[in-house]
Amino acid sequence: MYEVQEAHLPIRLHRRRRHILPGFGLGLGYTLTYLSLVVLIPLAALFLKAAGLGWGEVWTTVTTPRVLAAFRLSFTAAFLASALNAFFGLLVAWVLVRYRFPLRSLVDALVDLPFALPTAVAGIALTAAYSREGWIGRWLTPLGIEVAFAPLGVVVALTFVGLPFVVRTVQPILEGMDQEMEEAAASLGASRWVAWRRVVLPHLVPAVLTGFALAFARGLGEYGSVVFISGNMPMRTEIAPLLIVTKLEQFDYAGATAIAVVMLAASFLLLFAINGIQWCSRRRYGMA
Amino acid sequence: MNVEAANVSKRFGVYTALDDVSLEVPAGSLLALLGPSGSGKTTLLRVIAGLEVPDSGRIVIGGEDVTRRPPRQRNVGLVFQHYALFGHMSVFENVAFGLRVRGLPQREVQERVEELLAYVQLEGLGCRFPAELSGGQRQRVALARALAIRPKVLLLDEPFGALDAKVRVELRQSLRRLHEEMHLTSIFVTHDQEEAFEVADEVVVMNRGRIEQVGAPHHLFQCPANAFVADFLGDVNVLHGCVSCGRASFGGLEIPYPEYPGETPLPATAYLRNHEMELRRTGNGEMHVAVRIAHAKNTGPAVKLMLIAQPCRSTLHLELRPEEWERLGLAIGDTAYIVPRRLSVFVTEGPATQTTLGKE
Repeated sequence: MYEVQEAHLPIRLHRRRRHILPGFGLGLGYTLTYLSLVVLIPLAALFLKAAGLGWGEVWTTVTTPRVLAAFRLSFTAAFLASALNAFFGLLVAWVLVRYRFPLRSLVDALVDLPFALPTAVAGIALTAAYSREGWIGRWLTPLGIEVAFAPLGVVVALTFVGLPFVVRTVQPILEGMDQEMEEAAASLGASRWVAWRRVVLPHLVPAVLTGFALAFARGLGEYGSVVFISGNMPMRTEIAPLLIVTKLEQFDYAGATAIAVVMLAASFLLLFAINGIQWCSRRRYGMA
Repeated sequence: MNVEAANVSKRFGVYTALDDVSLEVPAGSLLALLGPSGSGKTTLLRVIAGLEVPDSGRIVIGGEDVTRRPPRQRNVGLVFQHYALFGHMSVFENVAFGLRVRGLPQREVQERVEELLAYVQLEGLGCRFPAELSGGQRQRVALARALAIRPKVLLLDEPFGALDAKVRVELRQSLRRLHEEMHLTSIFVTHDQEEAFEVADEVVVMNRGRIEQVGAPHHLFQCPANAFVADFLGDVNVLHGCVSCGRASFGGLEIPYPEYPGETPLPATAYLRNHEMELRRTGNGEMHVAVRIAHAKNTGPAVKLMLIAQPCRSTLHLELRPEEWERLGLAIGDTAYIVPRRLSVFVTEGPATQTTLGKE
């Protein structure tokens, strides 16, 4: 009896090894429950619904010309907008980190405005500015450039909502970057531009790509700011998220689900890409 | 190539980092800039490298005024305390950077980099990334990278500061070797007195943006120009007393001080080094200071003593060999006598004197 207990004791102790910091079980449990309720279960339901529809029907729905046109517009506009943001976001982050100028913190706060502003407000404001009689639109119309109620308007709206992503991903990397590296490059004979291109930029590329992917994902799903400025003309300025809403309003739940599944798959691919970029750069350079 | 700084001043806002500093470094010498943090030693190095533009004064390298020249046109090798390696490039590409920027053909780059990697004993590690190397290896990559451009002047900012003790000692020796083999003029910054004395031909002691003294290590040690230098070089014991009528007195210790014949006593300090004084049971006449033994600790190879000088209450530290301590037969609380063989006297706003006492 005594010996048996002895033999069991170490095993029990081992299995119930306590964490030094309390609250691990509760914390993990809460995290999983929360993620399941808000994210995992709804998304799984979406896939189940699509599966119930039959993949053939999903395929037929998403390959109709109108849906294809909406996808093409959504992906192209989101890509162009996030490419613009990758370039200008990098510039904004550089200026904010490396230069000291009056009202710098105000500019820094302004970058977050697209996050804070209700997207519908952004849409109305952009439409007002870029329509034919708007402050900016009136100068563009004579040049033959139409922004509001044209595909270009979608790009403008998505550029607006995507602005903070690249700035906010690049900023901390740039702040943490050792200026000594640039000094070392200079002492080795590199000009300012060469030092920037060969030493600074490679350090920022993973952050820029992450910001780009985040802005792209956001652009794909953006609805509120786009619907005002695009005019929502089928085959021309209709975006995929709007098409989902349209189908829902027509009680075509199957059609809406089919489009939603494609969007979801695209989002997943993007997330994988982001994680892949981060994993690669961490592994290779020992940094995030 | 000789390096010269002439009347260089540099301020950062209200803070004066360099205050009218002039320094001449002859070609081929290995010089240490030694001082506490904030003494301006790193700023001086950065001004020479061209990373800071001085507010006034000139920097001359090899007879040419380079004060307004950007760092890339100075051909100066630079090694940073935290290495500043390019993390996204392999070791090979790090070393090759300066050569590629100069547009050298691939074959020459390959040859030179391999030669340097062999020189710093990193052959075969060319395709590693800096994150995969140890601190000592990184420092050697930084050295190889700086040497790749065949600089005539090598500047090192706290080159061994971030390394552990054993690696430091190895790298000190390799810096010495490299300096001699490559015919460089080298200047390195350090706050470690031992390091400066061991590696450098000449040491520049800096404090608060000024140069306190320049000299060979043994010279600085024997004839410190002022109280700061004596204090900073470490291992000194301080006695407080005063000077008047051409004599300096520190408790029972009276020595001539002809530099001050005035009658009003002036406060003075005497600096005694550990190995320049003797502990005795009894005094030998006039040249001694009475001390009380406050603490004694046998650490194995030495007995560390803490003594309180009776007249001025200053604390003295002394190390004895255990057998010496045994022979004296003293205990904590006893009174004994310190007999200095040599001491430096400093009077505020007066010249320093070094006095050798007794027969040596």
